[in-house]
Order: sequence, then C-alpha cells, then structure tokens
Amino acid sequence: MYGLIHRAMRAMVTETLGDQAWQTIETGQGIGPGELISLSIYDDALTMQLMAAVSEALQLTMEQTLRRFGAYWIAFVSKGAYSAIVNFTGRDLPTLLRNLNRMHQTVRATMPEALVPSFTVVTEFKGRICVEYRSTRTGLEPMVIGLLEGLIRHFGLTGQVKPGYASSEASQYLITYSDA
Amino acid sequence: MTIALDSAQLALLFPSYMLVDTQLVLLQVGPGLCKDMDGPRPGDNLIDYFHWSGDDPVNDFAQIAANAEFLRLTCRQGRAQRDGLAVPVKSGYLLAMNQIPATFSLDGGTLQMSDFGMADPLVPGLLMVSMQRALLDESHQIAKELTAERQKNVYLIERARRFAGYTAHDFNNLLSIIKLNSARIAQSTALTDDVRRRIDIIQETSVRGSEIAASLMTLSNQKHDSPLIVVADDLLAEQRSYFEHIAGRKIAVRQDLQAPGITVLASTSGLINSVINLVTNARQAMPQGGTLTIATAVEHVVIDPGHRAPATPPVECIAISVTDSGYGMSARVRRHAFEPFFSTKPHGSGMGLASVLEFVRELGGDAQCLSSPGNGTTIRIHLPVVDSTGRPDMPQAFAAGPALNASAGAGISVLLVEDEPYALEALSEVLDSLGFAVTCAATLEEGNSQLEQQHFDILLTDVKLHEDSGIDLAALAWRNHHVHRVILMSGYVPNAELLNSAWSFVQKPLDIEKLVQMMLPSA
Repeated sequence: MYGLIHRAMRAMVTETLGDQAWQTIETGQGIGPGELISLSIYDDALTMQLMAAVSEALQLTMEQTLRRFGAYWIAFVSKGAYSAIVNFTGRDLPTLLRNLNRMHQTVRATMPEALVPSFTVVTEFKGRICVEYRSTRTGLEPMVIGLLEGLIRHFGLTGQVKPGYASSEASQYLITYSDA
Repeated sequence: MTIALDSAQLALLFPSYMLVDTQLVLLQVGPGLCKDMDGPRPGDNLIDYFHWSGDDPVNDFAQIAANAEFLRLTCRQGRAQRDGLAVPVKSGYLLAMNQIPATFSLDGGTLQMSDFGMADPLVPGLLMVSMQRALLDESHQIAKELTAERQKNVYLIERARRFAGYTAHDFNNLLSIIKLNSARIAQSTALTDDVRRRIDIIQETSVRGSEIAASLMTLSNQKHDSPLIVVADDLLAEQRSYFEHIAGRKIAVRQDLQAPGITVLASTSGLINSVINLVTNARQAMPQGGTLTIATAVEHVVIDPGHRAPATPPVECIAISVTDSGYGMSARVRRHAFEPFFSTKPHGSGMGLASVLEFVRELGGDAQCLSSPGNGTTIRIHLPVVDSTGRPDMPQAFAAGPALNASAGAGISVLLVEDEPYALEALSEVLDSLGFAVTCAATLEEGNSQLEQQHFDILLTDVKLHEDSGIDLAALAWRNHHVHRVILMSGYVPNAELLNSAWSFVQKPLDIEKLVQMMLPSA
C-alpha cells in the first residue's frame, strides 16, 4: 500500500498513545522515515505487519483495528494537505461516494503500480445508500466499514453501516444516515 | 449521425451546459453552471451574465454556431470562465460548456468533481496539482522532523559525553589512590621480590586503567572548542551587520555596548552562536517588526546555577542582553524557557535557549530571562570577566625542574586538600617523604581554616571537594592569601575558562614525578 497509509497509522498511534508508542513500533518493525513516504508504494505484507503491531499497541483485535483505522483515515485526510482533494471529490456523502472512483483513477494515474479499490453506488435513496466495494485485496472489509462510518461523521451526519450481499468479487454495504 | 441525450446525460458530459433560444434567453442550465456565480437561471439572458469576444451577440452566436468555432464565455462577476461549443438546435443553441476554474488550485475553492464533465481532463490535472502541493507540504514536514531528530541526537550525544567524562573522573580518582598507595608500599626497603613483582603488576594495571580512562576522556570530548580571551564589545560590534541580517528588515537593531575592553574567556564561535540564537528568538517574537537591542554592561552577580550556596560571593561579569519589543512571555513560559525541547512555536526544536544556557554555564556564567506578556523579552547572559594581562604558563615554567630526591621539597609548605581519605593519606606521605611540609585538609572549609591560620607556598587541591569546588578555594588562596603556586588535581580536565591562567593543573591518576616538578621552583 502507499506510504500515506503508514503516515496515517503513525498519526493514529501517536494521537492515541503518544510518540513513544510509535517509536517502539518503528524499532520493533525495523522501519523509519523511508517507509513513511506518502506516494511510495510498499509491500502489502509490510502494511499488514505494521497494522498488526498497531493492533497490539492499541490492545485491539485486527478487525477492530482495521475498522478504527478506516474511520481515522477519513479524519486524517480531511484535515491535512489532502483535504482539498477530499472536498473536491464531494461535499456531501452521496456525491463523494459517487466520485470516489474518479478520484482513485487519478491516484492510479499518478502511481500506476497502486492497487486502488472500486466503490460503486448501487442504489441511492434519501438517507440510504448501497455501496459496492471491489478490491484485489482481501481481508480489508472491516476497514471499509470504518471508512464509511468515518464519512458519515465527516459530513456531520449520524447513521450506521451494515454489511450486505457479498461474493468472492465484491461486497455491498448499506449506509443509513440522517442529519445529526 | 444524430445522438439523443436527455438532460441528465447531458449534465454528466457538460455540467455547465446551457440551452438558449436565438435571442440568447436561457431555456435550461446544467447543474454545474451556478457553482461559482450567482445565476443565471432559465428566463435570464445570457449577455447579462457573460461576455465574449464580439459586440453583436445574436449575430455572433449564429456565426460561431455555423462555423463550429471555439467559444469562451467569461463571467461578468469575477473571473470564472466556461469553454466549449455552440451547437445549433431546434430551439436555438446548445452551449456545450466546460468549467475553467479561476485558479488552478483546489484550495479554498467551491468547485467539486461533479461540476466537470466525466471526461474533462481538468479533473486529473487539478487533483495532481493538489497532490503535488500535499507532497511539498509533506517534504517540509519531513525536513523539520529530521532537523528535530538531529538536534535530539546531538543532545543525547552530549549527555553520553558528559557521562563518559564523569565516569573517567571517578575512575581516575580510584586509579590515583591505587597508584599512590602502591608507590608508598614500593618505598619500603623490606620487601620480598614476590611483593615487588605484585606491586609492579598493580602499577602496570593502573597504567592500563589510565588508558581506558583516556578513551572515556576522548569520548567525553571535553576540549571541543578552544576558548580565547575575547573583548565581547568588539566581537558584538564586528558582527552587527550579521545580526541585522538575521533580524530581518522589519526589525531595527540597536547596540548599546557599555563594556569597552572588558574580556571574557570564550570560544568566539560559541559566543556568536549564542547571540545568534537569541536574535533568532527575538525575531520570531516580533513577526510584525519591532526593535531589538543588544547591550553589554559590567555587573557583579552571584553565579550559582544550582542555588545551593546562598553565600556565594558576587563575581565581576559582563552582562550581554538581547531585548526584543515582542509579545513577551507568560510566567509559565518564562519558567520553562531554558528547558531542552520546550518551545511555544509549532515546529520549534526547543534547543535554542537550552544550548545558550549550557554554553554560558560551561564558561562559569549563567543566563536569565526577563519577560512579561506585552512587554517584550530580555535574555541576559553573564560571563565572568577574566584578566587579559597574559600571565606566564605555569606548566612550562616548571617543566624542567630538578631531579627528585628525599629533600627536594625541603622548606616548601604545602596545603594539600583532597576529599578522598585514602588519596589524601597516600599523597601526603609521598610528599612528606620528599621533604615537603604538608598540611592536610579534607574539605573546603578545612582548607579555608588552614589558609587563615598560616601561610603556604603551594596550594595543591582536588577540583571536586564533595559538593564544593577546589577552584573556589584556589581563587581565595590566590587572591587573599597570596600562595605562590596553585595546583589543581582532578580525574577530568576542567574547563580552562574556569581556571586562572597562572595556575597549574595535573590530571589523575597522578604522575608523582610530574607533580613534584610542578611544585618545585624552576631552575
């Protein structure tokens, strides 16, 4: 995965547990600034290894950590230098979800070797959106739930995300939301 | 070829499309048209909102549409533009327009991806520019992180060096006791060969121990910079234009130097760096500009960094003050101002004032911060004034003394001050055996008392006397009791800045022959 993910992990750990906790993870995993370059692509194994170390530090299961990280990711990219991109992608939940693939296409144009997921709005009604997620990666479904929950929060809404139909190629999530 | 598109499909391709009749009255508008402008709406006339190259709107459009010419509409309010084509349709013209953002940046803009056509190349362009900006931000952040890390490492290395210095000091003290006592035993005439061989082993081992201590001394890097006798006012005056450059154009730099000819012992680079640190801090405290004053004065102050000796006498010092007219500090900030890694700036390293304090304390001085909110800040450093007459270098004068014998020290009185009882006993006995009249003292207080009672030719004192300093005793003996010679001993090399240039220094473990040569008058 790309290094921005690692940077977000670092921010989540330092905000939650302090600088020393991340130093311990870096030392334990043998990584440093070279593994934190936003637009560099790193082996997924390294990312998951780091996620496991984060999970241990937070004393959460991997599933809980992925979900928490998914929600944190939205907060992370919304407040930093990438916030302009998030705002451009959409200023409301349905618009942003509809435009996610277009944004990811640009990421792929910048980093051809990046494996970006696909998000398709399957059905959309007032307060209810069904999103289909596809990825060549497996095991990141809890993170997707966290991402969608993070988006609900990002737009100042309340709501929930429930897993729906899933196959080996895709999984669907039903988002129900309302104004907070 | 005829293609039928409904308004929703048209909006996906050209979110800023407009359908106008032949008189340019708007019939339909795309959802992206009103994003960065107030209107237009169906029923409005196009010419009330846009202008283009041409002065006959109705005929212009007929010609543009007929020739399939490129059309650029510029909004009458602001700088927003739309580019595209005017296509003749049954009711008038379809203006198939694309968004042209006012600036090629997403920062602070109101546009979003949906305002652009699905295939509009501006979208990846805008995103890539934003990613490039984000990466530049990140590179700045990384550079700051690396700088902070490097400063942290420098601080840790400094701590390791100090630790090595303290260890070497204690180790050398122990070796000195071993060496002196083995020398005492060796003086005895009734020793078996076996005992003499064992004494040789002890002596040889202490020499090897000295080599280890020497390695630690090298690691401690005590002599990293060469201090010189510096006329502070001259140095500050010479650097004035540099300080002005650092302060920047918005800040007026004044100098009020009131210590002409007064000298301190300091490395020039260290002193300049300290003032640069203070000037840099002052500049940051005055982002809107102001006045920065660099002043000197001669003051008598009590230098007591640890606040452990309330009776410490005042010392003649040069006070170097850097004063800004900035926002000043709260009491809390002022209390922590000299702490390493404490900073009120978002990406400050917190090492500036800490390094200044460390520098001046190494020179036997101190620093203070005077500040209150709204009243600016003064950082004042005090450095002891030194004599600039250039006394002779004592070790050289005594380098070629006479050979040792049992009466070499006859007629020479020595006050020996050493807080380590075994070392005191052994050294006293060795000096006695060489004919010196030795009086022993184990503390600074005892030493003082002895100095009050009688005159001594030589004061031979350890630098560290429990919590007290042999240097203080030396200063007293030199100034008030007129001893002929002061010799300091220590397991580490003290800062030369703290020593009077007329004094001598001998490092532990003691080389008796060298010590005695220093104690005897030169030929």
